[in-house]
Amino acid sequence: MSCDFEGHVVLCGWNARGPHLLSQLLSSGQRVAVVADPLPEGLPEGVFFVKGNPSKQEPLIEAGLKKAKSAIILGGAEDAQAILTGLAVESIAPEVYSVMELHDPANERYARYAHVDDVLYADSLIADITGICTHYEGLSSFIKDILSTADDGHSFASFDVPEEFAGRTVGQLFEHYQSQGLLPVGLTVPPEEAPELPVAQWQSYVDPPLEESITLPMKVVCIKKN
Amino acid sequence: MANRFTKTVKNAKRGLSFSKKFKHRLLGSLILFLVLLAVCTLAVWWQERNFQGSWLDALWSVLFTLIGQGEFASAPRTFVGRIIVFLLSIFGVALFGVVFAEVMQRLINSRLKEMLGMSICKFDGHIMICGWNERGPHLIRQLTASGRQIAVIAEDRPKDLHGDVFFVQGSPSDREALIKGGIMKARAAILLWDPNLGDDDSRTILTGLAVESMRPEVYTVMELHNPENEHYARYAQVDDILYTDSLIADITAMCTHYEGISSFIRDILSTSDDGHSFASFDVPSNFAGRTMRELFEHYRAQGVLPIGVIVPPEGGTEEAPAAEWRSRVNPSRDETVALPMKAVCIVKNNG
Repeated sequence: MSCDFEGHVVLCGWNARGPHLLSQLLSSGQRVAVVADPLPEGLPEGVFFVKGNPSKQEPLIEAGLKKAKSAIILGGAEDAQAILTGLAVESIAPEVYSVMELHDPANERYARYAHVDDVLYADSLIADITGICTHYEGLSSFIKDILSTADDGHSFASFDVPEEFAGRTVGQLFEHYQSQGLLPVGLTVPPEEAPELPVAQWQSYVDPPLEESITLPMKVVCIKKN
Repeated sequence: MANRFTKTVKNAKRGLSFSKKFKHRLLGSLILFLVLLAVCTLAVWWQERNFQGSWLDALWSVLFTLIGQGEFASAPRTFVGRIIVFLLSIFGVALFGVVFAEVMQRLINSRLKEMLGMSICKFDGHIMICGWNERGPHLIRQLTASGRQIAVIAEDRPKDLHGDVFFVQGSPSDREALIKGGIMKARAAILLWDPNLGDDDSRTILTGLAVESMRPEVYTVMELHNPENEHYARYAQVDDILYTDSLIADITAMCTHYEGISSFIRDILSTSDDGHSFASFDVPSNFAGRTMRELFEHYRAQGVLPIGVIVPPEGGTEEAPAAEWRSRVNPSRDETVALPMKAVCIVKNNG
């Protein structure tokens, strides 16, 4: 039986972070299909499960990848399996936004060859957070709050800058979002030397000068209430 | 020439045998050597030079005699001079050999001990990393970039460990290993889940207990997998707990939901690059009773971006540890500042 979801998230593979990820996605109202072998323990109802190797085409198609909005490729002990899965996902549905979890930054080029949209380094991110929490006592509650979208706290969000702001200043743009109860903190823009790069490779500008002029395309990053 | 070479080799052999006998008597040998040098210098200055010129020249001649070089070594003018050359050739070289061998041995021992993780850390206000996993190298990079001294305690020396990082070989829950890592003078301890010590959180919790029982004032940050184990970590009085899997899941979900936000997240979470990162500051006492708007304007004027505050828990005491304080993201600007409070900002890294 094939998955009849549309605009859903396909979770390719399973590891210790799977249950947390699933609860995050479900709490933000996303529908999820999981491709893994064996069946993960305690999979919630409403999640479509396909038993199989996520680097093979059939289980991915069965999970409705062609109609999915995005795919998350969870890594195992080695990055090779995740990269193979990324290749399979991108070959079946290149328009699906794919996020891959890697361990070794040296493997990023393979993920990029496979046209995976976004790559996250789990170990490096955790080390970053641990370093900050050790340096600034008490900061962990704040970081946990704004990184989680599943609780009733706050989280980061990014929005496309509306066309009417082209040529206006960053200060005016930030005032617009502040009036909506959001806290704008930065921008992401395509690199000047390669404007055609996918959005996951755009450059981030944290706390940009307010008098700077806006050139589209651009995304504004805000902190918003969940 | 051949004779001189034979003489030098013989002297060296004598020195070596002498050094073996006095292997652990560096101080005694050094004093004897210095006394011999002083007596010989005085005798040469008196007998050979009749107190003419500087005593430093006499010392120079004596030192060269030790290696069989110089005019005095080959042709002493007086009888006392010949006796001095004879004494220096035997006892001087031997004592010199003892001192040199002992110093070298100590240097090698110290380096070997350091390499094998057997020496004692002399850092002060440093950060200890107890346990080791794949996140260790990233953590070292982060901490060294912010100018911290680091000591690592692990069962095996991690591959490619930075030369400035002090390493202690042993179990991180072992009291002796913690003392060697300088726990009594450390500022903070990071308790990493170590796959070599089992696949659950139990050993990390044991390490937390050991650290907190030895030095409760050290700020401890523990990495846990299972939230059900948090109460054990709290019993152990660990200050801060991070759930690695849950944090990564949060970030992955966010990056899936908001395309392109990952570069921003990476930027503000890393302190080792030249981008931005989070920082928290104690709110100055002169802001008590003033508005959040004034406080945020104060930080804006300093070039940092305030995004929230952390405050002690409601109903809790003001002495509650900082790790238990509540976060207030983007608070109302009309709210009144009540101390104690920390302001959370995004700041530019020093790079």
